[in-house]
Amino acid sequence: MTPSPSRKRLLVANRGEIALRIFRACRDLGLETVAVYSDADRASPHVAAADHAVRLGPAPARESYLSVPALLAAARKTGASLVHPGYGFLAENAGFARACAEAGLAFVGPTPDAIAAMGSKTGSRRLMQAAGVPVVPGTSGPARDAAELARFGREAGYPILLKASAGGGGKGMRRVDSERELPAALARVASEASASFGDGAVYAEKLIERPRHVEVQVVGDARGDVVAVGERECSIQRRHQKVVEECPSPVVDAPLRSRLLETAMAAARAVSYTSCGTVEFLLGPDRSFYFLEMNTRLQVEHPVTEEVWGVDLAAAMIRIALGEPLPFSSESLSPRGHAIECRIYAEDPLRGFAPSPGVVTALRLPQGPGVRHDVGIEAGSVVPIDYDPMLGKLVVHAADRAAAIARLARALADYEVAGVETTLPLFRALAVDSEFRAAAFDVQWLDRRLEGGWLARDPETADDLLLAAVGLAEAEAVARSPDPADATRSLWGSAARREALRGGY
Amino acid sequence: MRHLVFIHRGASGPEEIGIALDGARCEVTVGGRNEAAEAVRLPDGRLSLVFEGGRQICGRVRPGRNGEVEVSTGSGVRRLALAEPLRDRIAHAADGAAAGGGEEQVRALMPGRVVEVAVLPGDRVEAGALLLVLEAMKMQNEIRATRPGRVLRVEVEAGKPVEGGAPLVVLASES
Repeated sequence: MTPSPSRKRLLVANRGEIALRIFRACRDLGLETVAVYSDADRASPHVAAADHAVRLGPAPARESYLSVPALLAAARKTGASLVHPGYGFLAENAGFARACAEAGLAFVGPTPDAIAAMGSKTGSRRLMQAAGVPVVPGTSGPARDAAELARFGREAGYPILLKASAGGGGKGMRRVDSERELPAALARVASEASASFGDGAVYAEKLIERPRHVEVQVVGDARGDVVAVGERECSIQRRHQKVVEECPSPVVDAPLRSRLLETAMAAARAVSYTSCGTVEFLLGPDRSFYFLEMNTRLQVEHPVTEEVWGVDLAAAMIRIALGEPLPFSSESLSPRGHAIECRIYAEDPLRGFAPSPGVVTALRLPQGPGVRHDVGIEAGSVVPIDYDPMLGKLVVHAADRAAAIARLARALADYEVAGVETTLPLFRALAVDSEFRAAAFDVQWLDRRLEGGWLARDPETADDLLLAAVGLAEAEAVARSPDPADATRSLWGSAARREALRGGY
Repeated sequence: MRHLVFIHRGASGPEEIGIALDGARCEVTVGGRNEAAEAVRLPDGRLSLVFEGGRQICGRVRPGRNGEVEVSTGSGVRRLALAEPLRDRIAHAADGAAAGGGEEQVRALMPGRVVEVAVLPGDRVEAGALLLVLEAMKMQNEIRATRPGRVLRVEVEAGKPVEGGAPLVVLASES
């Protein structure tokens, strides 16, 4: 029998911190919550936080969080009328959004058409050009000859990038710094392209050197209103993955901000955007900016915008999906201070960011003014190998960027995750890095820093030795004590006993 | 009151760390310097030390990989090579073997009492053979040969106390 709930129920087709984040918005709005889980997640915090919970299937995402039939069945079983996809998994899958609509469920996100339109790289580029949104200048298709490329080079300005039309993944690309280099470079790329891809077609793009990643948060509603809620700076990336995000961007001034926000709203209007979304731009050193892509979902880094602009984006998305108008307007919004987010992953930054799954044996979160946690684990949680290893996000907010960095350092000194390796050492190093503090970075800055051996294991201190010696002394004393009651007092617990027994002398 | 000795292998080579535990009071001796503190275990398992001058430090101490001790504090996680002498000896037996010439002195790494001597001068021993049994910290520790050799001298007698660092047996290596 399908229950008919007195209050509306929202199913989150996701796990971890984002499921918890959306449940909090539901509670604020008086909605009941439905969690879904795989076999790896029965004991995860998002399940225990929900009013209803439905098993989807085995641990692999394909058989659980990516299974549209299982998700729709879970919604039916619990009488959910709204479905929020979170980020990742099915968040930008037009087919899932359509399946929800066909099942009579309100999808908390944009329309399937908007998702599909922005999901295509070439289609969205054409759409944006038509809407007057700047895209990275390029030849409109494969160049016929060297003369056409030379014309493009003169128009766009060097350096330019020659790319094999059939290429990808960084293969079949060559930087050209002047017209003189062009003929040789073209011959090289064309022959490489023929050899590697069986297609010698080559096109050209303007090369944006040392760009920053700046993105604009947009929110639209079903009436056609669109608001831009400031920009975020996301240039601190490791291998194209964002690691730290800030709001506002330290290099965007008021005139540039108003141009960015206007452009982002034009992009959103071009696809009749009716939810939270993000328009990403590459920002060149000359302050020119170019459309990169639009993310048609709530983003991982949405909290920095929420802190600075005083909005609840997760709740706004849900209200819009319930048919309400935008809960704020451009005129009602004003920014306050500076926010920084760190994505804390179960990865070992000192071993090439190798995943570090396991049991979180201890978790201590910093507290105090300007510190927010969106965390998906608890002490005792198992970090499964099946999903993205992000444990949660630390967000700090203060009056200005310098104060926010000081607050970040303060929070990081109190942040403890034991049992698994985390990316916390990376953030501790960032917080005291002079170039980071001066905001003198671009999207490749962190990769260059890491290559240079910037993250080294800290040398041990005299205090470490004092703590270790006293801790070890207590453990040894207890391990040798004939009184079993001592074992419970041991700092190392049963681990010390096992170790002592294994010692074998 | 309990006295323990550890070997710490830091950047400047191995050094001896002496610890005296008396309830919550502890005294740590490193490189001739002595620091006294009150040690308290916090409810979440961390260790807090308050020194006599009032300085406080706090961190989590756990057994790390490869017999190391892992210390995590607000500034990060470090792994220290710190071990009780016999275990340190086992862990670094290969170092000694590589450095040693023809003779190897087997020393007591902590004060104790000889319970039993298992070899006589002239004996041939294999790696792992029992040389003697030393009682220290109320534990009977079997001291074994780390490589094959011949017993040149036995420097101690059963039942007699020995100082930390005192030579016990001298072996000539046979390769």
